[in-house]
Amino acid sequence: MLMENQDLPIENQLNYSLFLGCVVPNRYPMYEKATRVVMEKLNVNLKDMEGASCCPAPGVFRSVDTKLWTLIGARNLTIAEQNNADIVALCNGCYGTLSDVNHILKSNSQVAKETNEDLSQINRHYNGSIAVKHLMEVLYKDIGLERIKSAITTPIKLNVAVHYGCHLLSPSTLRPFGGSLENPTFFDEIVEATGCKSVDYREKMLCCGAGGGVRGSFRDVSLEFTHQKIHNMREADADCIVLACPFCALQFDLGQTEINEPERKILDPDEQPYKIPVVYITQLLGLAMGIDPVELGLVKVEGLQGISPFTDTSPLLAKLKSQLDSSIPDEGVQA
Amino acid sequence: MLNQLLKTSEDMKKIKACMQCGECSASCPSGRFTAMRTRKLVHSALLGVESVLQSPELWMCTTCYRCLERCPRRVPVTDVIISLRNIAALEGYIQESMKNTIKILEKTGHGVPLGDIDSAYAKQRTALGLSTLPPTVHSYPEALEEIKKLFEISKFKERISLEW
Repeated sequence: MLMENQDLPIENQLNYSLFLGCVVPNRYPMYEKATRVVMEKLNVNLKDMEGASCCPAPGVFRSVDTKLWTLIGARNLTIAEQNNADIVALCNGCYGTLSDVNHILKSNSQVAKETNEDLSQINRHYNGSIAVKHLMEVLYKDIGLERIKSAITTPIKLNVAVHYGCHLLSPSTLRPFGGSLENPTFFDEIVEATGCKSVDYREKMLCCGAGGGVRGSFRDVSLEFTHQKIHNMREADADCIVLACPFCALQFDLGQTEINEPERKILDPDEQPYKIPVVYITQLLGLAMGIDPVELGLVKVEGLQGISPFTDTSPLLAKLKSQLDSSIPDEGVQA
Repeated sequence: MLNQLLKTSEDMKKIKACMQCGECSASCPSGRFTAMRTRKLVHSALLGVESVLQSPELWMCTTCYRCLERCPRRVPVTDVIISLRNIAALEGYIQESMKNTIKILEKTGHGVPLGDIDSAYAKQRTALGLSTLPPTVHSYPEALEEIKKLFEISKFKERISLEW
């Protein structure tokens, strides 16, 4: 019963080019770690994209200069083409950029021609031979709920506030999920495969507030979004936020501590400070697969200043401890 | 410049279908917290009012795409806002934080770089059992040269003034 999927014949193994982006490897490396460990458990092979750069970030680069945005995005796509494996992106922003640049180059021959003329000066060529997928698409459509469920060994019970993030779903004409944009379910289904409950909360589909360059340019405006969301999540008794975008994660994780700063005057005078832990989807899956929380980066690395997570995860781990200890089967039972 | 783009850009041409119903403003989360009114931005663009390019509200859109998804006339509203930002940037109106991010990307290949090899971020990677430097442009100096070359090839610095 345990880990049937590891016995799959080799031709069933899924291969992807792992696009790391910036925020995952450089600010939230535990999401990279958890993804690598969980994908290995699911018999998915991840090839590194050697020399990949920033996607580049849509909020800044697409806003300022679509030409350079397309060109740097196209260069990243050529690295995955050399790997001969579709891209899996761990960030909604990276996914938005790479998937939209791929779409533009595949559908507009004039832009593709000009881009290839430019790329030839760095000895690269865009062929249009790969697809760009978000981690959630890989989990839900390629690996599938059944295979994920068969890898769950230690179901966990938490109230989870799922946050989809905008660029995972929109523009919907270029996204693969179909169904209702206003009320999608695929993320909730994966979360509930772990035993958790995806709680309903007011304005669940509201943006985190970070995108489009707003976090960088108008910090307090971006935090107004976050405050509204986190308030609604607490009202629904969420134990944690689960998401699949490191920029949304930064906005909720570091953003909560910013919301709590009295000088920003975002909190009402009688409002309690916010402290809802933020968990990446592969960290949650890893827990339910029986992987040690330390290995999933859910325990903060000690002795370093200014690193993530900024919102303490220990209340969540304390709640999980009793569940995980009791649900790990005895040696005798496994045999 | 704005009037020229109204005639040539595919996204901008589509705003002629706008009937000013206000669904975009009603759907806009930024509009709840700020003076941003999406309908007004589209209206100004439609009329070719150049002052829209100087408006701070143009940069308060998080590109959540709700306006585009809900527009009954299928106007790609978010894409229109991005096109307006591109024109504003050509005319020298760019948010300071964005200038910095662009400079950092040109220097390091990442919009959010790791920092020094003994930075807390690098140590965090090592402690987690990951390679200290990610296998990105950070590990491949020749890849960074390619990024710098793409800035040159696209004549970015000649088109966009960031006071380099």
